[in-house]
Amino acid sequence: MRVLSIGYILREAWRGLTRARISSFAAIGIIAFMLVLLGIVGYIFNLVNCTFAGVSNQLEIIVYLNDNLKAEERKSLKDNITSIEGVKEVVYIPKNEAWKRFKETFKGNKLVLEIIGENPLPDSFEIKLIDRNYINYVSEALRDMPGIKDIDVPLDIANRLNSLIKWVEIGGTLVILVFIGVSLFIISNVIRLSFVSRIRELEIMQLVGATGIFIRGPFILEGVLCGFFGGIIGAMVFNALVYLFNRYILSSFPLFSTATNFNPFTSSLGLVLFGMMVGGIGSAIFLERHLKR
Amino acid sequence: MIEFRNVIKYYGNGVLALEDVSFKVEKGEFVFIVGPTGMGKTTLLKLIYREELPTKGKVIVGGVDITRLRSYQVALLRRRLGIVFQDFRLLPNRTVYENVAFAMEVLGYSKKEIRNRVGRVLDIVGLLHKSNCYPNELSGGEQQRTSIARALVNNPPILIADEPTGNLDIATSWEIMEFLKRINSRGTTIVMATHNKEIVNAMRQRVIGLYNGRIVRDEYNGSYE
Ligand SMILES: Nc1ncnc2c1ncn2[C@@H]1O[C@H](COP(=O)(O)OP(=O)(O)OP(=O)(O)O)[C@@H](O)[C@H]1O
Ligand SMILES: [Mg+2]
Repeated sequence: MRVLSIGYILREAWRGLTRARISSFAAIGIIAFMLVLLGIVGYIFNLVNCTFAGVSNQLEIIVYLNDNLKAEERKSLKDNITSIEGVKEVVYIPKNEAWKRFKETFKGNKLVLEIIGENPLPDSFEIKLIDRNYINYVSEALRDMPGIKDIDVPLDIANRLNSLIKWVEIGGTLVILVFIGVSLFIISNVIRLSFVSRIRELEIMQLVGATGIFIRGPFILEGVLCGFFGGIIGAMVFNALVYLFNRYILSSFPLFSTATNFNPFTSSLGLVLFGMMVGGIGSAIFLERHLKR
Repeated sequence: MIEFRNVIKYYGNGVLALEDVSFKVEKGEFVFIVGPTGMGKTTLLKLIYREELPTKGKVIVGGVDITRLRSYQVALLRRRLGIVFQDFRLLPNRTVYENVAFAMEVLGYSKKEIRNRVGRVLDIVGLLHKSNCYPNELSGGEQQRTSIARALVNNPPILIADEPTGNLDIATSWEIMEFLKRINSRGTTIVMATHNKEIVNAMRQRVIGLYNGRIVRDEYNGSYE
């Protein structure tokens, strides 16, 4: 193909886009709409995932200390624990503090407090981890350390969270894949509306000896352009929705407001690129299905 | 240049349009395909430029069996043919000029060359003054002449013309025929389907007669009947 063809393809694509104005608008609108939905699905998926990940990274191992541990023994134990790989922070909770917290927790339940009576709680360390995957390793390392009476590892919760996160990931990916398939189907059908009247035109071009790129190029580029404009509109609407959601809804659910890694720039870029891809592929699918030979 | 070997063509609806058709056209020949309406003339031409495929038999153009071409090879075949369609097949959203220029754009000619040649060929068919009209602003004869101009603009070695004078008055028909005679004498092979008795009789060229999808005569120096 000569250089001329690129200019030709651009010119023809633009001509097609502006000529069939109503159907182009329809295609752009539908693409924008699908992209907003896709963005929302992705956003919710990300939010849930981050929340779970955040919760699970807050899991702590609690180590109960022998009753008659001296201050320097405690100090060296703390240093040893801190030096274990994967430990982020070790906090000393004296028994009085623990008892205060316990009473706070069971404030409404006089009976429990009466039965227990005296403070039965030992001194303890709360061990925060870099992330939840270290939980087994760290608890293993703690096992043989001197001065420790008991270890409380939230393994059960950790495992359950782990599998929950895995399922959310699988489910989310599946939903998004299905969604992509459906949007490809819908978009290729919307593009059909705008292209079907021109199929005859394409056939005439073929009869005059136009080849694949010459015929398909402008149409595919037209689809890409529809996707581009749809993507820009969709990204703007999506970001506006996210802004409103964060501002008015998310703020009243403190559980969720733990840092999500949502980035408006990359997600907008992703939507626009995805729109262009879907527009191009939609056109190509249409041409493959409807163009003779 | 063009050869049909025992070609049978059934359409999807069961119509038998061509039945055991065999003939050979040499380079530089001028051949009329004649016969009453519905006898298979257009079908025969469509097989040459591969708008239709034969149900059975072979169609050979330029030494190549065109029943087994890939799509880009079909495009290459059509670029070597000039085709005047019975129903014109003009692009509705392009002007006369753009329609003719399109056939050259496909081949990648430069803008300047396109301008020169399109102007010349539109002059030959007498449509220079309608360059900027769209097909729906043209009479039948003008559309036909646009279609002729498009077929000729690339100086194709083979010209396939399906009733190219069907919508023209006698004077214009003769102008077009004079022109076809001229490019034929310069070596262009021409296959032309027609109902026009006067033209066939006056030209004294090879005539292939079709009746009910069969070749009923094939005469050099022939006449319409
Ligand atoms: N696309 C098609 N599908 C089904 N049948 C067709 C098709 N095209 C043509 N036919 C049939 O094939 C037969 C031959 O048609 P064709 O167009 O070749 O005739 P023709 O000789 O060109 O006629 P005319 O002189 O009127 O142009 C006719 O009976 C016609 O009805
Ligand atoms: Mg016909």
